[in-house]
Order: sequence, then C-alpha cells, then structure tokens
Amino acid sequence: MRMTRKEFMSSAAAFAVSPMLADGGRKIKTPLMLDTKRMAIHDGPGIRTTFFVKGCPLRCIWCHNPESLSSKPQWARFQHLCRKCAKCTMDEATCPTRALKLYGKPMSMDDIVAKALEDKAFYDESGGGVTLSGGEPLLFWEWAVELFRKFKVAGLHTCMDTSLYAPPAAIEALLPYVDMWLPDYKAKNDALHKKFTKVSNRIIKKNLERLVAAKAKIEVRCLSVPNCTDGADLAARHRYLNSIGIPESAIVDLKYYDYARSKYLALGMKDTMP
Amino acid sequence: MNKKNKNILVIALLAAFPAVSFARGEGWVPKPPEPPPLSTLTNEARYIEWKWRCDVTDRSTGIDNATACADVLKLAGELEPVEPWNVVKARCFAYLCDNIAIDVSPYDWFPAFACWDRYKRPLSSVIWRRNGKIGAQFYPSIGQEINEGNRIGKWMVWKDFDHIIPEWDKVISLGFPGMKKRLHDNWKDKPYYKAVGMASDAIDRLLDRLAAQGEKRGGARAVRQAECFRRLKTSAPQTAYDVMQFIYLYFVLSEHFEAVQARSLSIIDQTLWPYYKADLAAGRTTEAEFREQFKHFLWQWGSIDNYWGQPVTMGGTKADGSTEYNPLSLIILDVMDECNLPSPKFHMKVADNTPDAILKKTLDMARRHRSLSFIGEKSCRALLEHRGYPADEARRFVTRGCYEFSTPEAGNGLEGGHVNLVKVVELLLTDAKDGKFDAPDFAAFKKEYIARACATAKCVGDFFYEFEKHLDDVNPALVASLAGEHSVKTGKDAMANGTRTGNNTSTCLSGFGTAMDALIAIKEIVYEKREMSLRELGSLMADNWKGRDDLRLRMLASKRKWGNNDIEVNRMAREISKSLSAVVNSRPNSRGGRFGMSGHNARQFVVQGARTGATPDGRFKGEEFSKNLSPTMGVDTEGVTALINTLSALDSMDFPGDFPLDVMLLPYTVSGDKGLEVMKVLINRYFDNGGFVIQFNVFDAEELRDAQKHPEKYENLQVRVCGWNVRWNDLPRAEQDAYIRRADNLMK
Repeated sequence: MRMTRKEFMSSAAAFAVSPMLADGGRKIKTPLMLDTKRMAIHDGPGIRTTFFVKGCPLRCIWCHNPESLSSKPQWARFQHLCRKCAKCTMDEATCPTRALKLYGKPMSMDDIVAKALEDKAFYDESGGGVTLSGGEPLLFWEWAVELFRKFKVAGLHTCMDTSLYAPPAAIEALLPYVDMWLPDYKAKNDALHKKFTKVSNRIIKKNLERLVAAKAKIEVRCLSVPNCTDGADLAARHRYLNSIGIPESAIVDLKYYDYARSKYLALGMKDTMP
Repeated sequence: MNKKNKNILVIALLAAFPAVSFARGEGWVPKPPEPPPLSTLTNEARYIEWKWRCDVTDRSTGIDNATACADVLKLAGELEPVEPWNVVKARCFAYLCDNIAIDVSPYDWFPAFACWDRYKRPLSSVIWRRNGKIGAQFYPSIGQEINEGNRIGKWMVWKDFDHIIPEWDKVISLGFPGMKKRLHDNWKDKPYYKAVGMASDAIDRLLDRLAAQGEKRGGARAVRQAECFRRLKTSAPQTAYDVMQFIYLYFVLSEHFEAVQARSLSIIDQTLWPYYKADLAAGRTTEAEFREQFKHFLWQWGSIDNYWGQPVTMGGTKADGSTEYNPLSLIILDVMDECNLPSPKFHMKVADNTPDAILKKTLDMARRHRSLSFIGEKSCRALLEHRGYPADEARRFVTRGCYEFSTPEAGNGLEGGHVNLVKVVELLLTDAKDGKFDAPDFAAFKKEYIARACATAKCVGDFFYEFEKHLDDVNPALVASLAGEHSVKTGKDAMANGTRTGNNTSTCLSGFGTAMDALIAIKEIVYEKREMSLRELGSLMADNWKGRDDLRLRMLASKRKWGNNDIEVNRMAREISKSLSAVVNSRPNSRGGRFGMSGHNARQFVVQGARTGATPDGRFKGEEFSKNLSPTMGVDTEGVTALINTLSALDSMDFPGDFPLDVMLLPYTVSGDKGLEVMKVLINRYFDNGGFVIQFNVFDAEELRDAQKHPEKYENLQVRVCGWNVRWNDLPRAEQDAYIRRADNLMK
C-alpha cells in the first residue's frame, strides 16, 4: 500500500501505540516491514518468499541494508534521481522521478502469511518456502515465534536469516518452528567483531552451539570483507565452525560488494562501507 | 479495353481498396544492412551469411529478381482474362522455376536463387493486384471500414498467407515424385489439378536445372548437391541430407516462388533421426558432416533473416508415452547454440517425459538469449482434444508461426486479425467526454466495455468470414495443395479449405493486460475515490494527462495491475476473456473451420499502441501496451511467481489460438544449477496452470543500458520480442527503453 507522508505518520503512530498482544496480554515488539521479495532463490532452498523486518541491534560498518538498521520508518531520497522540485510531493507514488522511498511499513501477520501462501505451489515444486530476514528478525523474536507458528500451520518450510544476536530464549522458542537457520558469522575474533559490528560475538557463538546441539539444519554465511574480516579471520571462522560440528558443506563464503552506497546517501546516513 | 484503360482500372481498384493487404500489415521491419560486394564473398561463412541478402546466383542461368517481378506481372495480366486464377498463378510459378537465376555454390550445401528478397517476391505484386480486384468485386462495402479501423488502431486486419504447414512426415516419405503420383492417382479434369500438376512438373524441371548447375560447378559439395537433386526428382529423400534439402526446397518454393509461407521446418529431430541413424549405420555420413550440413541448413534462415523468425519444433511424445527426443536432439541443439541465430526459432515441446539433459541444455541456452521457447505438451494436447481432435492427432501437434500450433493434418490455420482491447477503453472515454455515454457505477461501465469489445471481435470475425471465402481466388497455395493428402483427394485448395480437420482462423487479442490496467484505474479514479467524473476523465485522456502528472504517476505506480496477481483484476480479466471467448470460439468460419481466440499479438503492441490514446492506467498516448497475455512492460512489480499465478486466472481453453507468456528474469536469479532448477519450476507451474508457451528474457538493466550506449559491443545480443528473437541493435529505441524499464522493475 502506498501512503502519503501524512497518511503514513498517522498510521505509523497508531501502529506504534498498538503493539501486538501476546498470550496473557503481555506486550511484544512488532516490527515494521521493509520489503517482501518473491522468488528469492538465495535465501534457503528452492524458490522462496523473503520478508524483511526493519530494525537491527548490530551496526556492521559494511551493512548493505542501511535502511534496515533503525526500527523506525525512514524516508530516503535518491539524489541521482531527484529533480529537486520546488514543492516536493513527499509521496512515493507521485514523485515524478521515483526518487522518494519510504522504508518501514506495518504489515499484519495474517497479511504476511497470506502473501506467503500465494506462491505455495512454487515452494512445493521447488522445495522452497518462506524466509524471515532483516534487519535482525530476532530483535522481534516473540513476534517471530507467533509468525513462524502460523507459517507451520500453513504447511510452509521456514528459514531464519539472522545474526543470532539474540537471547537464548529466542532460539529455544523458535527451534520447533524453524526448518533451517541461515546465521551470519561475521568475525571469529571478538575484538574485530566489536570493532566492526559494535557488539560482542559471545552470544552469537553460544547460540550457534545451541543450534548444533539441537541438530538444527544450518547454513552459516561468512562474509569476507577486504581488510576487515578476510584472510586469517575467515580461516579462523571456518576452523571454529568445523570444531563445533558444522561441516564445510554447511558453510557459505560470501563476497563483499559495496553496492549500497547510494542508499546511505539517500537516507542521509554516514556511509561507513569500507 | 486498351492497355492504358486497363492500367487506369487497376489503379482505381487499388485506390478504392488499398490497405487490405495480404502482407503482414505491420509496416515496420529493421532495414536490412547493405550487402558487401559480391567479390568479397569468398569463403563459406561470408557466402552463407549473405546469400539470402543479395543476389549471389550465376546470372548465366536465368533472370534476376527485378526481371522476374516484371515478367510475372505481365504474364499474369495477359492470362488472367482467359484462364482460371489458380492456373494463372501456376503458369507464373512455372515461369519462375524455368527462368529464375540459380546457383549451386561450392561454399554451401544448399542452392541459391535470384528471388532472394522476401520483401520483393516476384509473385507478391501479382497477388497484390489480384487482391484489389477480388476485394472490389466481392466485398467492396467493408473495405473503407477495415481501412479506417486499421488507421485508428481499432483493429488490424490483413489477409494472412504466412502460416501454412504441410504434413511433414507424409510429404517427406513421398518426396516430390510421390506427391506427383498421388496427384495423378486422384486426377480430375478441373483447374485445381491442372494448376497443381503444372506446379509439380515445374518443380521437376527446377530440380533438373539445379542438378545441371551443380554438375557444371563441380567440386565435392556441388556434386553432392547435384546427386541429391537427381535423387529428389526420382525418389523420396533417402538420407538426412536429402531430407534437409527437401525441407529447404519446399520452403523456398512456397515462400519465395509462390508467396505462401511454409511456417515450419518440421519436428526436426524426430524427422531427421531415422535417416541420420541409417546414414551412420551405412557409413554414408559422419556426425561431423551432419553437423556441418545442419549448420548450413540453419544458416539459410539465418541469412534470410525474416524478422518474424522461422519456427522449428523439437521433441514430443511417442504413442507409447516415451519421449520423442533422441540422441540427435542434443547434436541439433549444439549446432543451434553454436550458430546463435535469431532465426530459425526453436519450439521445445516439454512434458513429464522430457529428458533432463534436454531441458537443462535448452534452459541454459534460453538464459543465454538463444532463440527458444517452451511449449507445454500436456496443455496443448488437452486444448486440441477439447476442440475435438483425436488424442493421437493431438499428441503429434506441431507449432507454426509465433506460438500457434495444430495437429499435423490441420496445418492451414490463419491469423484472422488483431482486436485492440485498449482502443475500446479509449473510445468509451471519448464518448463519455462527448456526453454520449455515462455509467452510474463500474459494473455498468464494465458491462458496456464487454459489449463493445465483443462487438469489435465479432466485427473482425465478420471481415474474415468474407475474406476467407475468396482466399484461393487471391493466392491459391499450389505447393501446399500438392503436399496435402486431403487437398489432392478433394480438389480443394490447401489455403482455403483443403485440410480435413483444419481450416481454422485465429482472432488475436491486443493489449489484454493494458486494457485490464486501464479498467481497474477507471474503477479507482471514477467510482471508488470519486476524484473526477467519467466525462472529466475522458477529457483528461483526450488531453493526454495534461496538468495531472501527479495522478498519472500514481496510477502508473499502482500495484492493481494485470500481472501482480491482484484478485480483483484477475477476476475481471477472466470475466472479459470468457465473454470474448463466447463470441469468438463458438463461431464457424467460411472455410469449413472455426474461429479461435488467440492470446498473442505479434508486433501490434507497438503498432496499435502508437494509434491508441492515453489510458487511465498512466499510459501516455501512443505508448506501446502489453504484449501477448503478459503485463504492460514494467508494471509487474510482484515478480514472476505472481505473474504466473496471474495467468492461471484465465482459462487457457478459451484461447485455442495460443496462450503465451513472456517472462523477464535477472541473470543472478537464474545463475548456476539452481537457476536452471528455478526455470524448470517456473515452466512446470505455468504448464500445470494450463499455459501453452513460455519464453524468457534474462537481462539486467545495466547490461541493456550498456548495449544501448555501445551497440558495437553487443552485435550478437538477442531479445525475445513476441514469438521471435531480434538482435538488440535492430530494436527501435522506444522498444529498447521498454525492456530496460521492465528490467529496472525487477531490481525493485
């Protein structure tokens, strides 16, 4: 749904004061959604639909989705497209050059499930399903548990694309509903991890070990960022992962691209990409 | 009447009946490049590339194309008052067989003819003149109406002589002498037999001339060709090479000599395999030699470079349920891949039994822009059975044209005009602007739209009902008649009503997707948000959105579009297609066959788009609209799975003509082995939903932008347009931009 800024602000405000209620009436954090990607083929097996939540506790300097960091809605203005009209429409739909984009819109759980089910025939034929990504979906883990429970009721294969920077309770609660985990493992050296992501990797490693112990299906993604987390650290990550029982076949090395610079500029954020 | 008065009469008739052309009526094809000097065609590759783009014949053997054009026009003019028309055409055909310059070059495995230019075929002007006379004589009252509709883009109506195919298996098993014998076995003292017999005799004489020229030229290939021509005169094809030569000669005789396009080169792997296998067993050929001959075979059409492409079918299913793909299929695909030609275009039959190796190879070729599309056997067979064809005939279906298909015995289906569904919206809004029409709610508006769209489709059907009564009065198909068993037995012309179970006519829909987008936009603007009245919207469209760019951009960006699997749009599309189907598909034509609705629109998405005003979906006046049953370029923002789900909203049984879908994908989504699996799933899903044909364009926008800036780097880059491939550099800028827009959307 496209909204004007005014419409958006009113809907976002209403959304902000009406978080979803968990069993027993306790409030839980509910994310705004960034995007829905249908026919995603790199987010788990087969053809999938990937839902991206907005909000992440990490601050990786190489982040290629800077629009996903804040959990609040954000306007972006793509400078290379902007015609600098005398009076800006402040509306994605009527911006004449499509330079404006609004990141972060509410989407109900039922709408997410309904959207996911539209492509069920493709999942069934390709061995695919649905993936939750971000941002960091485990930032909203109680919400994610409820969503994944609904995915499973609908007969969907589920993947969780996560940094694993989350409390152990999140992992325990999600284990029954996640068919495959797609964790990032960003740096073995904790000092490096802190330097480049602003958080420690201790809890991430603990969660990884818990997933292995639970015999969860895992595919670990190791991004190699030149002059940051390449070379020795990448090798160390592989050694560590092997040592806790994750075979090479379940580790995917990812190459770094600095394609997201225009998004930093559009969002008015400092470009931290190496 | 003296000669001067006769000429004045002809000019007057043409003036009164100018645009009901037998040509494709589409006005635009890329300008062929200037040929190099003949003296530079001194090696095999250059010779074959240019042999059908200039005259490479030995002038001592006969007349050139210009002389042939003038001579047959004069001959037909002299004979027309005294002979039946099919005999007149046969005499002209024979004149060409006896007199056109030829050559049998040592550079080539196939002969050359001076009537090389498919846009100036000698008999074209003869048939054009005859067409004017027949129109003026039999249906003068509709001429002006047709021309006016063509001019404003309400429809596009022309006589189609471009989609006839023979029963390849039968004609190859008979060869030229077998067909001749069959003709004489059924001989009756009627002009039909005289005309077809004259054509058959003329073919014999042409084979003699070709053989003599091969022997005169000398050299291994020319002599092998000469031997082949001698064999083809006295027997059915004996070897795989004979079969290729036969198919080639059949095509040239039909297309270039008598202006009737044979729109298929058979189910080529199935056709050649038994001959090739026997050749290998007898030591008559080697795989290497076959590859060379087949490469030359393909290059004939590569050189002809017909913009619309020449179809070749592959594969299928045997009576026992096993696949028709065979070891030769892979060799053929290898050669096709290596040649990288826009034409011939390959139609791959796909079923559950299709070998994985074939499917993977062809999907890989498709993502590398080879000229391929995929045909769903299950749904095509189901459609043919639904239309009453026996299961075994349906099983052996063959493709012809862009996506059209038929049983082998029903290969004379013709295109019967293109109905512009977007124009219906424009005319309704014009009436609203002028105060001649209003609707209190969208249901009433939609009801009127459906009524008018159906009336237009019926009107186009009426034109063709009249036209097709006289098809063989204009352009009798001599070679196709000689090849048609039913035609020869009944003495009915193959172009007209000479097949036992065919003689069908397709009514093509143009701009289906854009029409749905425009209708839903009207619903939103006028009836839901009540932003303006229908009359005001009509005025805004007449002003081409002047002063309301905000609204135009909003409508353009709306996700309520055909292709995004919007339930409401899908439901409306189904209702409209069902209504059109009820008008078109129930109707007999005047050739003893039936009309059938078709989902493809050739190049009319550009031609009629240019003649159609602005539409409420955000489209400016003159912009192209959606092609085939696909969405408008760039509006399908929900991705390919939503697109395929959208098409499943329609009932493909309502589209006996064809039901094609164009899919554009980013290279990274279909890279590697997983990419091939993904493509496999997409085609299976589409076919499971009843789809007939699916084709892919795999590009990213940056690559296309670079190709626009640096055409010299992308000389071999091809894109799938409608049912054919075109070199990127041959596309007009506006069409290139549309592809870039759609590729951009994939990135969103």
